[in-house]
Amino acid sequence: MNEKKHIDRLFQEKFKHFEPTPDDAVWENIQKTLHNDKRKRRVIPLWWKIGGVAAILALLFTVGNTVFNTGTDFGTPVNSVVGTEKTDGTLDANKTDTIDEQSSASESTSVIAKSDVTEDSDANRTKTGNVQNSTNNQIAGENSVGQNNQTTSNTAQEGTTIISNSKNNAVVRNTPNLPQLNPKKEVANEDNESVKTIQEIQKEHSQIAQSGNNYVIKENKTLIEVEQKDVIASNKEGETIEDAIAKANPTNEEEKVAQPNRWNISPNVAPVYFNTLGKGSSIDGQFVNNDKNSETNMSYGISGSYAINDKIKVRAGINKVNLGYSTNGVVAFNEINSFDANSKSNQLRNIDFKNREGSNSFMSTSNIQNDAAPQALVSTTKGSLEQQFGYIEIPLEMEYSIVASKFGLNVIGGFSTLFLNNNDVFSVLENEKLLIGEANNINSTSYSANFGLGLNYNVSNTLKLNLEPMFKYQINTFTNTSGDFRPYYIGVYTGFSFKF
Amino acid sequence: MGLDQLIIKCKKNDAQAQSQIYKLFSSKLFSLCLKYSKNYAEAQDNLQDAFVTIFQKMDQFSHKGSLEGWMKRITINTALQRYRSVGVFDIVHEDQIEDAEVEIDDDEVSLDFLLGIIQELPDRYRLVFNLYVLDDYSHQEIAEMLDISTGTSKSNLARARMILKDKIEHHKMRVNSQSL
Repeated sequence: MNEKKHIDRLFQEKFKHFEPTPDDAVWENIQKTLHNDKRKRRVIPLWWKIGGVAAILALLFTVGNTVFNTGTDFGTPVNSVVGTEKTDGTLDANKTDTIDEQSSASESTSVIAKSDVTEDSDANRTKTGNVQNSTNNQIAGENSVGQNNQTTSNTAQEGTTIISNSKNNAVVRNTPNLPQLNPKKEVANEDNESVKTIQEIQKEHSQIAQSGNNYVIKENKTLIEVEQKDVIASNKEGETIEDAIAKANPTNEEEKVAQPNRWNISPNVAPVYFNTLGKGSSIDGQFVNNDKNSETNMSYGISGSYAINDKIKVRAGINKVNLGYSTNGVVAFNEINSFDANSKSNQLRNIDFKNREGSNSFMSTSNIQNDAAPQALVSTTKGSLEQQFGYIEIPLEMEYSIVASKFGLNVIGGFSTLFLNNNDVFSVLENEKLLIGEANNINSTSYSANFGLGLNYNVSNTLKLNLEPMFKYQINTFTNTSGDFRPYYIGVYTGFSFKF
Repeated sequence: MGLDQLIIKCKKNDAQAQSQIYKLFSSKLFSLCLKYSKNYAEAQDNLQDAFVTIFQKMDQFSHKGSLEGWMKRITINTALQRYRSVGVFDIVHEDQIEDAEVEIDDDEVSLDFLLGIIQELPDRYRLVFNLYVLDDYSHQEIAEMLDISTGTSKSNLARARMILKDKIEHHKMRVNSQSL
């Protein structure tokens, strides 16, 4: 029914109980604003910042060292499998008893050595059968590979493992795990004990090992049912097992790779310019004050990066980098006429000469001038010493994105590990270049702290052009330098990256 | 926890207390924002700005009036601020005040419709109408708040009423013709 009503009243009545609920986003934004304000007001102590940077660098360093300096290691991932599988405690006391019985019923020790591999792989097979999990095949595979590599040298340890493990009542499970014994330990064993003693230990322990294995085989049929239950149970209970499998299993990594657009692969090439921050020489003390010409060389390589989030990427790669510089104002003179070839007063401290007989001596012209040497020497054509060295560089860096649109801007920081693969010193006289030897003070492994800016241009969703001026300050490059020789190099890395 | 305690905690920037205050008052203040804004998004922006101001100025709240009244004033001010800074308070000539009665059945218009036509009003008409009709401000107060004369305030109110009346009647006709 219509009634005449003042428009004010209409609105007042309608809006009296109007209490709409705003989006949750509003409250989140309010909190963010209040929270951010708080953060802005808080003064972060300087040491906190520095400590943070140091921690990040240390972390990168550690990761770089462990990733790149150690070889392939089956041990770690499989170890975790052991850890989780030991938890099964259903096949208790009677198993220890059985082992005791078996070991007392002594088997002939001669069979043991050869049977190790096969027995273990048997055990592996039974394991894979039990687990009924295709991924475990790979672990088992790795196990047998590891086993083959290790052969008899670790029998002793196998024995001990079984002994210790038998307390945990998981003999069947443990046998496949034997190969995970750390290779380093074997080496240590080999170092410490003669082969004979190892054999003795083998004899002692392999009985037990053997009996353990036999036990495995004999008891397998009866155990399989129990095992299956256990394995299923442990599979259910243990995410850790799956984790461990995931670690050991490369296919899982591939699944990660399959996540869209987190991975980048970027080939790059860069002119690199080597120089030193202070005045010094890596060759000899007499050249500290000499002019040095930096050479521009090339670096090329490839890197892969993983985007942790929108802002931060972690990247690693491999680069070949050549560096070099020449020391000017060097005179070379032949000492064939010298009376005593051994008393080479002007031999260079940090150079191992290649050809001892024909080796020249080198002097800095600055020294000669100081000594008021004959004008003839000073005015003769000055030569130079050219030092070249090359590295295989393994950078490990983080990229922080500042601008991310069509054009991107990143800040890059990180570490490189440098493996020396080229080391030459040339003498250059009137464009004649002669290899005289190599530097003996360049460390075979050194590091660099890297800082830089990354500019990129997105050509498409998957393709990017990159330009990255980088400053790399070298650490631990030389063992022995003269003056203040602090090498660094600058590279302008260009390339493209491909997202997948 | 009593409101007074919440206020004390809010003054100490306690996030939990702030969250409770927000839960208590966000709906009431959001209805204000919706009425004073052109659209939903702007209303949310206003609400957000208002609450940030409220929490930042909580220590200035002196318990003289109710917290709700104080918060409402801040919210309205926030909404007005938006138009003050944009400078939309142009001069409008006074019009003769017409009779603003409409013949209407309550069920014929929904709240959403009314809110819609309020939001569609020119900015100053909307502000004046809201302030006077829905939030009980006097023309004198409105004139001070918007930095206009009371006459302009009255005239704006009248224009707002007319526009709203037209729209309601138009809407009524459309509904009726559809039902025929």
